Amino acid sequence: MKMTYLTKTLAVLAVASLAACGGGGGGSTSSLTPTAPQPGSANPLFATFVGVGDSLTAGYQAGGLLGVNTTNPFSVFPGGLVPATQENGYWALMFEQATGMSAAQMASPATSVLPLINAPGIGSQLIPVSTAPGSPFGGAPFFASHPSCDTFNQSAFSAAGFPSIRANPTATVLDVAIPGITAHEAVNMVNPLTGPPPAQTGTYPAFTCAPYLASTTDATAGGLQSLVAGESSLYIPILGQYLSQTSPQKLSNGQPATMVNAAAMLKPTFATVWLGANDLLKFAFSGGKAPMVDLSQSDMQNDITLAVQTLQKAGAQGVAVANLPTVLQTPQFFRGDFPASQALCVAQNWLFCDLVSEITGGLIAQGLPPATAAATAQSYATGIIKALEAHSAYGFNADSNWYLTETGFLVALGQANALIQANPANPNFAAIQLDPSATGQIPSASPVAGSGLGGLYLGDAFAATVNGLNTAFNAGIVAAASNTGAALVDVNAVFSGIYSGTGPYFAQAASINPNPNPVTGAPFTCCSLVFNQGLLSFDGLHPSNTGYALIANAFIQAIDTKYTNANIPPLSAAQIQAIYATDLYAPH
Amino acid sequence: MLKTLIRSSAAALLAASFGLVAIPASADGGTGEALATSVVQDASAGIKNAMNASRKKTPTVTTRAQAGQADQTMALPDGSIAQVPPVQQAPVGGAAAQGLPTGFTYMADLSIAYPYGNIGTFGKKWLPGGADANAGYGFNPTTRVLASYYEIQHYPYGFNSGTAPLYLQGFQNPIGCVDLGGGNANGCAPATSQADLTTKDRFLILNAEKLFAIKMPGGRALPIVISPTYVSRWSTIAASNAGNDVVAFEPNAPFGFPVTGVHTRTAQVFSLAVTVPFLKTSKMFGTFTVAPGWLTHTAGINQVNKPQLYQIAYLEYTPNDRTKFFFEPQSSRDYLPADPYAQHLMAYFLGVSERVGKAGFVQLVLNSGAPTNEGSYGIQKLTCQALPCGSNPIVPTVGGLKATQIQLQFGIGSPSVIPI
Repeated sequence: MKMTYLTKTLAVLAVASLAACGGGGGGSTSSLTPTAPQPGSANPLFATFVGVGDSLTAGYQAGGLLGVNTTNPFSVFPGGLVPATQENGYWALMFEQATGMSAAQMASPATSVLPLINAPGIGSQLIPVSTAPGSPFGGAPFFASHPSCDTFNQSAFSAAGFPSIRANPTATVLDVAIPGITAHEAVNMVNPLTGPPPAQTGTYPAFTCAPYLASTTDATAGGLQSLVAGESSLYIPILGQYLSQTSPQKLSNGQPATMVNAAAMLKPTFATVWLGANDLLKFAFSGGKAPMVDLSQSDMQNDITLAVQTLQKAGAQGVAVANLPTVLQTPQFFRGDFPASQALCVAQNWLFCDLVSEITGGLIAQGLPPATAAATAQSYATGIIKALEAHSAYGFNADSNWYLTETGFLVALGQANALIQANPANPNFAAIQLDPSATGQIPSASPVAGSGLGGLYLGDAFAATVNGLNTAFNAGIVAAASNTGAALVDVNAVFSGIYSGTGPYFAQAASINPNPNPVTGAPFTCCSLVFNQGLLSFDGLHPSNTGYALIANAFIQAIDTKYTNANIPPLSAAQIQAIYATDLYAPH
Repeated sequence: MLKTLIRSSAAALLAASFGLVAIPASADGGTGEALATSVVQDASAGIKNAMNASRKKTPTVTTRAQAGQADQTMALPDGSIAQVPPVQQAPVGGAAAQGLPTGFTYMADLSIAYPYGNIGTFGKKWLPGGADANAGYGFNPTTRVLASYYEIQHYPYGFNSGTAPLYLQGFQNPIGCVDLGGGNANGCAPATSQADLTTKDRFLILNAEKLFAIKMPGGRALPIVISPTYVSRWSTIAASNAGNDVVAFEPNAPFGFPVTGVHTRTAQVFSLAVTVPFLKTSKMFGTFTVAPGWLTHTAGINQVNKPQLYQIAYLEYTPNDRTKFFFEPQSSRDYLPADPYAQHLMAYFLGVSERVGKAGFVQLVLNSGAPTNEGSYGIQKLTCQALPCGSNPIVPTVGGLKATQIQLQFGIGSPSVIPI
């Protein structure tokens, strides 16, 4: 698909990045038997501090994983920057607090314990640009930093590409988190689950990344490959130096080459385990069709328990296990229907609020007075939502909980834009189409009812199912932590607290920049769970630098509470302010 | 988007083809049948001889009271050998028939076999020929040593027949199914090539036999045979690229990982068999053998090495001195490197043997066996190691090995049962 359009860029992101899971290396790579690392923490509990998890633990942001700063001619970040992501993650911050490692050491290939990915990065980061076409109403347009199917991304699937993918290919990596990996994969997956997608055609920025194609010789081509492409592309880059050169699917110590076994091979003294988000997201984004996820509390409990026990048997004196946020509260999902009050728009990501905000900005850019633009935008937004609710195929009921995904939001917004342009006085919002055709076209002249479920929208019933699974997974994680004696990091409480718009978590987030937001009119500038309002990066799922800092403190608090000999200093208000000050994903 | 792609892949799945890359046979009644062959029949023969001798009031074995008084042990009178059915109890080269054969004995045969049951069309062919041999030496009617070599051919159920769910490595739910027979049964994708699961197990068995008499009420002695036994087994599987029994497989528990480089049907076992009689008439005879056994060492994915108990019953009917019918049910154990825990196998042999000339024999045996503590068919599920499945290894999770075949032996000496 052409990557020049914001909507399609994010559509790819939602599939390839957020719903991706990990794979493993069938080939051999440079061999390194891990030696006792790392910077001398004064506290022996953190002599070997290992991270197990997915993209959240890896430090993924805005649809990509990048270990070094780079630039892009289209980026409007200062200096055309495409910022590194990994060293901004919660795990890196927590490690620095626990061990005394400096941020500079964490970012340096010579000393980092992160598997630093060379430029231009794996995946395709969203970068803000000023001139990208397709931005319907003047909101911040995004651009892919590089094709997700370019040579660099392709080489990540093979052992041969490993040395050039990593900035520190021989480092003893302690953060072995693989973006896209599920809890079940963490204890099972021993090789990449798919090869690279077809290579790009065309030249960046006018390039095309063809999807995996179904064929008569490829039984599972297409969606299933897309579903596991993320973790497959990142398996070797993360674990490469620990894989056996002679035995496929084995680590250098002969154990099956799972992520958890790789962590155990490092003989951790302390470990964090944060898994399960991809199990949920793959279910959600596939409309419940993904065939390979944990699907119950006990499934999740078993996998987390096995992961924790494996680390404990390897010597970990302490393990911290984190639960999941309520994913439908993240700004990847735009809550449908109408908010009970405008105040909710301050803390929560409502479709109505975002439509009003985006359309208002667009109309102002077209010359309408702000008051007129706002009133018109509210009228348009109301019409769009009512039209969507009237579309029986989507399962959107009035006065209930349905959602558009970020991709769905942008698709709807783009189509609404065209309808408004065609007939500003009476746009035909009933023509908005969220179900692609069998060939994936949006809008489609021949939509397939239900084909947008998950990828573009979540109807009431399916959203309830996702929430139910979210709850079940968290119950499994809590039970696993309890049964193994691990510390429980209640990330869900942090996100839910901020989402509620009240309480200490919200107060802390809103106090990061308490000045009124000059763009949205919100009573504070940063931060909230509203799309693009500071806590999450552009993909709506992975935190900003500031959001990661708050999560790091949640981990530190739980660890210090459980393990009295931990004594990790939490990030201070001043440190968080410093992080926020340079956070390109947070409004200022 | 995603869902559309998934739908496309699901549609493609129906038209897909799968080639099975490496298939191990997981288990059979091998060790149990080896014990049955080498230990039970020999011990039974010794017991039968002893009981025959006892009926003629010619003590054949020393009792506890007679221990150390070897000169009081009386030999059977001349001609006793003619009073026992010759087929089983007349080892070529032996001298004594009052207990265990004394002196040098031997047996050798060649065999052919044909598999039956639900093995699909691929395996419907004569199995490769086999050869068996044993040689023993009896120091006296109560003490004997024996060395045996057996080859056992079989073709298991469920590798080229039926359907199996297809999984993607590391995931729990199936992404499709495969018709192992190459058709489209149940809408499953056809396996376009079938692995050749023709399997030949080889056994080297070394055992000693000691015949005891337990004094029973009424003054009669109950002969029993105790047989310390060592079994070493190895195998060739036609599907193995290495010409041996090294084939990839994926165990179920605790979680699936592909296992490579393991000799799936190679093991060594110690056992201590005790055989006692339960039936003796002029034409019928039966014994029961229990044999605790354990691996000499764990291998492959073996989890523990707890002693296993083999139980073998033996019943024969000899209508004349040249013909014998026999039935040998058994509850066996197999603990091969592809088994995390020992398989419990139920098997039986039903056969007839006919002596030809002075030392030759022909024997026809129908045998069948299947495990009871796991799926009996071969392939339980298939796991695609990486997408696309059509061009990447697909490793099976293998259940127990169920097999049925009829075997025909031509040999000299005393015929033995060719196990599964």
